[in-house]
Amino acid sequence: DAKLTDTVGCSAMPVAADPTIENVVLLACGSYNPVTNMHLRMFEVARDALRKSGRFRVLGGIISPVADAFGKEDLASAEHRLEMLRLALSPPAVAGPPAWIRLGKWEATRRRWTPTRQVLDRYQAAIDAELTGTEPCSTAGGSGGESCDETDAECIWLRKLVRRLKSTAGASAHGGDSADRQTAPLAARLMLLCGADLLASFARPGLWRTEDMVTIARDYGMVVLARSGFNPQKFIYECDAINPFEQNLVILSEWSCNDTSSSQIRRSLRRGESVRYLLPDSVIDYVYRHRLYGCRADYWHGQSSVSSDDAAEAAVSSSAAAAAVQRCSRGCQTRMTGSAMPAARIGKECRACGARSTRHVFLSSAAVDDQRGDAPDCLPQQQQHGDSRHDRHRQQSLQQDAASVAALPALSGPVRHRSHRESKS
Amino acid sequence: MRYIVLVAGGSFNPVTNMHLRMFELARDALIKTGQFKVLGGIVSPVSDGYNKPGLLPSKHRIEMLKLALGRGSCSDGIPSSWIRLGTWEAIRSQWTPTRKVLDHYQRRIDAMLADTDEAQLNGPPDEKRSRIDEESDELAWLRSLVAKLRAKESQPDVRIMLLCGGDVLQSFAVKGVWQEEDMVSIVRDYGMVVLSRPGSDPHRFVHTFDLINPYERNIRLVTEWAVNDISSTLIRRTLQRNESVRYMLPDPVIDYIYRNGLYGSTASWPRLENFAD
Repeated sequence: DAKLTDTVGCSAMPVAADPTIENVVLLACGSYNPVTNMHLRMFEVARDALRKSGRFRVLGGIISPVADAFGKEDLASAEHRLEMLRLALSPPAVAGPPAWIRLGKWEATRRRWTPTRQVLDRYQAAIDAELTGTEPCSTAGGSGGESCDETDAECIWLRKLVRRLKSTAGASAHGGDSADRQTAPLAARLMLLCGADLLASFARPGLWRTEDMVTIARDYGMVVLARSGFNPQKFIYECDAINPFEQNLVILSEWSCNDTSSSQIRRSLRRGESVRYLLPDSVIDYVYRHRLYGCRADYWHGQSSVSSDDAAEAAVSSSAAAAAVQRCSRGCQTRMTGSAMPAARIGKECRACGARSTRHVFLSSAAVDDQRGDAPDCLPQQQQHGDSRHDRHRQQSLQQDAASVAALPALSGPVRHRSHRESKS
Repeated sequence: MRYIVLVAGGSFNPVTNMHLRMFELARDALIKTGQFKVLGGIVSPVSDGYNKPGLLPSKHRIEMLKLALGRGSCSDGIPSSWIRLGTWEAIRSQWTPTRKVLDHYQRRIDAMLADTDEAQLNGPPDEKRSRIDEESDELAWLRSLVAKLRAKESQPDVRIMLLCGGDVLQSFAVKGVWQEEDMVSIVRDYGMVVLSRPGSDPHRFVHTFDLINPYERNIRLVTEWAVNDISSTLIRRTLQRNESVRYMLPDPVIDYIYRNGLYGSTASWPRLENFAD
């Protein structure tokens, strides 16, 4: 059962006699902390490869960043991450490149973390509603199913795509088609776009519900891009849950930009090193203007030779000092009062948002990242190791239905002032 | 304290994000040593006389570099004020060995520092003024930098340094590519910053290559950890296949390529079939 790899490294699916081309919308989840050229490039590579395979027609793409409720240290607020994404996806300065990737804000603005499968379900509900000509209603498919909001811009856009699809199909049906041509019912679905690291996380116990993995592989399908250190073909071979659906799992093994990670970028920013040309200039500009990720503003804006050199030198030599800035675990950029603390402080409250945590808060950014290790950032929160209490919460939420998720303690709450009662839990 | 001007040669056929990133990494690395300040960077594309198959006319390569550096006619992004385009090599009809390109810029800098000009030794003062008026952009820019520097320091030490990738360093060992005296001059008199991927072993090369080993202190090896497999070759191949090169090089450069139908590309950005918004 050898897999062919053509020159762009797209693993060719077994050629079926089925002439139907599948209509897909690519969905990518992740922290986008910050968005990088790699994230954007993934969409381009996937679109080209799917079209080239002859099996798929890509209608568009959606980026769905994770909510703040993720609880990950060093996660910039959803407001920042969404704005950086918007800048990265903005209408370009040059005419020509089509804007085909949408920014999905629904997941990011929810109060609680949303499993990836539910994000897929939500957008699929909009597609299905338009396909069947019904009004949007609650999706089938288990706990946490969400009806598609009539006012959600991405849902409206998806319905528009389906309408256009219908009218195109209708037009061609009136042409002189041969009687032999089979007319499959019109279909369109989301497909999960991700890196091989996310796929590998399926194996981590308790992170993904088996039912979700199966649904994603069977009903949606995945486009998996290679990342160094991971072997997606081998993983699919070994993973019983998804192996039956391997024809729905497209693996792209050769592509550039495959190792630019957000955590590397954050590290470089902390150290006063350049991140230019790894992410769009407009995003870098935003990072420096808002002093995100412990960067030093003068490094970027003082870009003229000798003076900028002074700034760069200052940035590099004082990176140790920058790392000592204490930041709230919610990603507030407010500096803590008092002198820089060299170690974790228990039970402290952030002045800006009132967030309170009992463990591993207010570490220097460097210590936080080092503790966490180089966890790939395109993973949804499930993959993040570190605080085992977070993992326990993930497992709990995976096994409870939506009603009892509300009972989770404060850590999964949003970034804003909490009631006194919540902060005590 | 030594002030460095980084010079990178190459085809730039086309310029990519990797080329631009190389400058940024080199600058960070030099500053981190504490021994250097980086005055600026010069990109010096090779002339058409290089006669490499598929090498676009310098007119195009120069324009794409201008767009990439944020100084072209329709560029977006923030202009890089510390990297400039050097056209001296590109406009010559014959190919110029790298060492001579370095010599050229070093000599001009030395003249600026000494406040003399080669022509002044032989010609009247009027000639000097007209030469400066005709001076190319990058030299005028260097001149202003040197002037600012001299306002702060009486006898600043300003040196050219070669910036290149690991493949260029390894090409030292290939017979016939480099003149021995050029290699020695580069490592002894100028110095190099070499950008390599993790996994390659430039240290071993410098250790075993007798010619340059005595000067290994002058060869700075920098590892690019955010590995970018973006090469001009890959870009050309992808364009030829009408596939997307977006986010591998600046948008204005891509736009230029499509508008001029370069590298076998069709005249437009790849689109979604029938469903582009």
